[in-house]
Amino acid sequence: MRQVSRGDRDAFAAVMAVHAPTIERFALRLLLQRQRAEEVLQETMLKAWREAARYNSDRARLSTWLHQIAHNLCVDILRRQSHEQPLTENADAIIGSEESPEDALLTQEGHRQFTTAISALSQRHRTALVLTYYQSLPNRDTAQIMGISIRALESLLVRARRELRTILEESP
Amino acid sequence: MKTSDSQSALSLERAIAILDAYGASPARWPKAERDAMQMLLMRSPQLRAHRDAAASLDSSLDLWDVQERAHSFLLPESLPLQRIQEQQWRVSLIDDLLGPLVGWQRLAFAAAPIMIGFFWGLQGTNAIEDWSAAEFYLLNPIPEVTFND
Repeated sequence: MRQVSRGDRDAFAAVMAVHAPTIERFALRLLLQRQRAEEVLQETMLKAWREAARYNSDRARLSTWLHQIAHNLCVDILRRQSHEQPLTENADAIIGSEESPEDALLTQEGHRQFTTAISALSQRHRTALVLTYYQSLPNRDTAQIMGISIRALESLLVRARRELRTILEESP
Repeated sequence: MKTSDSQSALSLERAIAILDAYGASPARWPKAERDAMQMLLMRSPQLRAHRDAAASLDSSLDLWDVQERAHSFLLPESLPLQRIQEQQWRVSLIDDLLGPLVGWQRLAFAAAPIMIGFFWGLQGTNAIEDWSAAEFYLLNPIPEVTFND
């Protein structure tokens, strides 16, 4: 990042090659909208470029710092769109399709159910779950991204998993 | 077998809380408590039952795959100015402006706006007095004098 802060485009491209897919998946799972997720990725990377000199490796890993930027952008979007369309309408848009048609159909049904269930969680519950479970970040990093203590994170995770289990059990 | 302090300090309640929060996969458990969890799992059937319940939710979570587009991020042709460059640009602008000045001249240049403000303030005092007079006559109009023939 030191090289990036000196305006090295190649170094920045190398950073993005490593982190962009992870950040996009994170935004996709939080927002459940491909277009918005891509916007968040673009914004995150541009902000990382602009603020590269402010990055301090003693305070956070690069991955954590990028997640923190993306998280703040996602929270802003979710706040703005809380009164717009429900998230479940976007379930189909983020499903992968590199399978046989039969498998894809079964997977898509499972995806749709799961996406509906996870979109019913509150934004904070979903964020805690996505960062810990899918982004595979250590609990300390996840707590740092969300600006909470590790105890508070664990409490959020317990409630999120409990709520998700209930929703999945109640769904047909 | 060697037992560390952290292994012996882990209570069943804490172990259950870890499973409830992080699920059944040891890779997601807090690193410092991982070994103690494994030890406790070997000893406690209750904890193993809890782990199995957590694993069933994990298998649902594992199904949720999303497809990112590898090509979705394209490095723009012209990236915006970096903040550090922006700051350097401001510093160099100030240097360009103050470049020919030396020592006391720079101090005088910096003090000039303060002096201008001070004298402007003094000027303003008179204006306030004038306003006070205007306000006085506005609130106390001169009575109309009429003459009786």
